[in-house]
Amino acid sequence: MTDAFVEAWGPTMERAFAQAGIALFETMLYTDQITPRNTEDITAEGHDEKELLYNFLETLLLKFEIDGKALGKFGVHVINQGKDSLNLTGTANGEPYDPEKHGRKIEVKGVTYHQMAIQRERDRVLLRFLLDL
Amino acid sequence: MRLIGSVYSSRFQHPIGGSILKMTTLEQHPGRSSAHIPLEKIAPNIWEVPTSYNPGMKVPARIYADDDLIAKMKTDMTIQQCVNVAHLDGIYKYSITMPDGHEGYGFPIGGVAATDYNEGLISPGGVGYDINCGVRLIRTNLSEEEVRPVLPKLVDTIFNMIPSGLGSKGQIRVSTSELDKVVTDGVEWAVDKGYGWPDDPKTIEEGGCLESADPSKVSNNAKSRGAPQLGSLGSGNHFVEIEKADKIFDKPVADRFGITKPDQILILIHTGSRGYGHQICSDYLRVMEHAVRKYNINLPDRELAACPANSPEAEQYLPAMAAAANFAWVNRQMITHWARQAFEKIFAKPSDSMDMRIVYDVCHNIAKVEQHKVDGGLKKVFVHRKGATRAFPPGHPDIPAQYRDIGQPVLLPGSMGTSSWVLVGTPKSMELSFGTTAHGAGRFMSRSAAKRKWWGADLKKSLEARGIVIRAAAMEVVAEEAPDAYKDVDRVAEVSHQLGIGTKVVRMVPIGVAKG
Repeated sequence: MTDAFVEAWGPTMERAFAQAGIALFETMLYTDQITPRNTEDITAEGHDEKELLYNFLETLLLKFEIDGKALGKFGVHVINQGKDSLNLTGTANGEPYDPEKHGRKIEVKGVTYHQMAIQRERDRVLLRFLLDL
Repeated sequence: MRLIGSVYSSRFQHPIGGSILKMTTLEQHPGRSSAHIPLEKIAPNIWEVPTSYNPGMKVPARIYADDDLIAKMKTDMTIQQCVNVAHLDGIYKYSITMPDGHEGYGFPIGGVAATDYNEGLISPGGVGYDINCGVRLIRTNLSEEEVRPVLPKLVDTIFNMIPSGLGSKGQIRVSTSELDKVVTDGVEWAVDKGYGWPDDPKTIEEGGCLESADPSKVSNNAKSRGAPQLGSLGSGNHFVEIEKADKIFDKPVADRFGITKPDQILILIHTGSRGYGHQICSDYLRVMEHAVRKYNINLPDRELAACPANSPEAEQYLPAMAAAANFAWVNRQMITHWARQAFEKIFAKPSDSMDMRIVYDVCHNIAKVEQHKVDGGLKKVFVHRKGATRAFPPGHPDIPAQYRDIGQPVLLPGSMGTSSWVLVGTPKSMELSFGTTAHGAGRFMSRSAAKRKWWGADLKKSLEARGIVIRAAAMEVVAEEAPDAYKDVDRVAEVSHQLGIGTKVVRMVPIGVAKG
């Protein structure tokens, strides 16, 4: 099987996560064709940063797979350390998936930990991850 | 990090925020190889990494490959991953990689590991995301000559009747409670509903139903994801192909499989458990992550995440995995039904008059409870097969009665434009590989092929120039699945044949392809 290997970055962890969300949807469809008509609340948690990224991306994948949502714009507001886990809250904007409008690329089977990396660099945060296709 | 090929790269690049998306194969990631690992060639096509290489290895790592295939494996993490699997507690004999092996997540694709039924570890990564991804072969009594004139219409009809591609949903809608029934009863459910013939389950691995399935161990997310997708092909490397028998190598066995003449038309279906299985894998990888900490399991790679066979976590995962396996068999059953209907529509006669029987159906992503000879005694084990096919010898009780005296049919799908194979299981496979052989072409892409792969439309043209009709939901997928991207399936079949873990029966070539 092939994979989509993604690098996403932003000036903060939150902004980098938001970019990762775009990359997930761009693997499946054309995100520039999405009209941000609805807003969804997004929450995720993880016992470490990698699990948080995994769970965040899976939450978004399920929005597509179960709710049929095409999401193209993400705002990750806060990532903070809870008692036992890291917690994320944010929003996602989009509309119901329409293959005619948003196109069809490739299905994503799942998020993986394979070669996952979260790096804090001098002026940005860089995320690397692989999607199983 | 070097960009190999980037379809969607530039759109999001921005100095302060952005992302690059590379469609790639794991092999292409630079700076990672298995070339430094000491390999001994212990016999033709048999390679081993001894346990002395790493003190954590419980058994040697063993790879079945010819010189060229092993050279390719050295360029990525395949051999390292085979070594990693050798670390699993309770593993017997050796961690095995098949000739079509390539880098996967945790386990290599083409990885086989038998772990002790009581004391061993169970690893969902040793099964994979697409639980019971597998292959089904249906025969017909039609010849190429009869099919060729209507081929484009036939492929169109198949493509239109069988939902495929991103977000594809089945033609029927099952509620989640009906879905529980589907995965409990397996293929019998489909036959009862009219999606098949009463004899169909007889020539499916496990009769198309693992009795251990328990939908109460499956999350609501998996059920919601899976329910609308029952009876759909999906995307990626999944397909329905119309094949013709190209060359018969073992006439007596081929006759028994109902493949009697070159140019006979066959149908090959390759798909799995869709979002249902993918979500079960993902859900239980999370459970195993916690189990690794809970049971203090030492693993060389996070993605090998596993739990002890006798733990509550295993007691939940295995029935959930079995439910996904049953989902996949029903999925292939419904696709079979529509493929028969497509033939009926085009040839205006009933499918039974075209002898459209299931030759066999194999799963190549699964963990099974089996008995195997280890150190002279019989042991009950969990055989993890991730991108590997069971290949039981003549006489084995788990083979359908009608094939029991000749051995289990094994199906090796190639890729668009290349051949696919029917092999047969042998006693040697019990000795060398826990009754297992390869699962297909495996993936290998050269850099030049990676560049070519973006030209889906050109590829379609070149296949059609060779008489192969293709219909696909997305041209990106056609490009992704370029034949060049795969290890030569003929070479893989040859290694299996020479080792005797699955011997050659029939080579098929595609004339029509419908894919996601």
